Amino acid sequence: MSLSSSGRAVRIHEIAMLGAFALFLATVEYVIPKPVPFMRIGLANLPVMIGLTFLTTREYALLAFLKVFGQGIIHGTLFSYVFLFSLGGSAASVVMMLIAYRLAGRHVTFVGIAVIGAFASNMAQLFLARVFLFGEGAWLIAPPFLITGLITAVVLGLFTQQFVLSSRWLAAKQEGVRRD
Amino acid sequence: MKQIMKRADAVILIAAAVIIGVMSFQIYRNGSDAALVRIDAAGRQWIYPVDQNDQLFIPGPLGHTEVVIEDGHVHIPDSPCTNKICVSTGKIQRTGQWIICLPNDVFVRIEGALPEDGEVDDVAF
Repeated sequence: MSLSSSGRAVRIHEIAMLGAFALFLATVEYVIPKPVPFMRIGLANLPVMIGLTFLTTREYALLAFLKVFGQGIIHGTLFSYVFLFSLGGSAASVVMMLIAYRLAGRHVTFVGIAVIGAFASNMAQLFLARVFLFGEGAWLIAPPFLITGLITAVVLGLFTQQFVLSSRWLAAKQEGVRRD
Repeated sequence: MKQIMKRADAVILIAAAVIIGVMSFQIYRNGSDAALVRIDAAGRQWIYPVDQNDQLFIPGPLGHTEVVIEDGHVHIPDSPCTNKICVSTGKIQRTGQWIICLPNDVFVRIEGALPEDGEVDDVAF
């Protein structure tokens, strides 16, 4: 798909907007009190999933990077080892969600995609924790970690699906793509 | 097309739940398999598996401290000491937990293949 120069500028604005949205949601997530530190909601994945519907692979990777970078700044972990966990988890989830959307987008809604993404992210982080921090003991936190991830992914997936189905902005965009 | 959830979503959801269930089962079962009861008393040391029921009489300076291993739990029903702190400690079962009888120099501790203390420290994490 080739874009005209004005189309490209629009696209960059859209990526920037979704990236800013991820930054905002990372802030919202940061101020929500959590009973245990490893519990996460993953609100910032909402714009990333919305981006799946119209971005190319490279643009999608850029958006994912903006999300990870933004989260690092907001949570204050950008220059710590925690950032590597965030990066590893996000990379796994982004790749898996992209594959799932491209291969089975017709049969799967964002609920399934969010569950796949959350599972990939959590497994990647557990694997990193096992290798670099805790050894075999890391698996002890796996069940509660994965279960909370599953629940938040379903809720976020339902919300994303609702958004994608009812957004006039997205509908107008897809109209525009068809007209081109 | 205008659907919130499709059949494939349910399949993914159930698959994820099943994977988590099987993993949890594996993790928590293996955790207790590896656990051992280590008893240090008056310079001697004994090691017993925590999942085999046993009744032990550990010799100490004051006499024999009775240690019972029962259904994965360990407790001291009686000891020849005066304050009985070891008896009132009750049952221990997880890696890193311990019972001590200072007057009779008996130290009972559950150890496992897991790293020291076996539990993840929420604060440090």
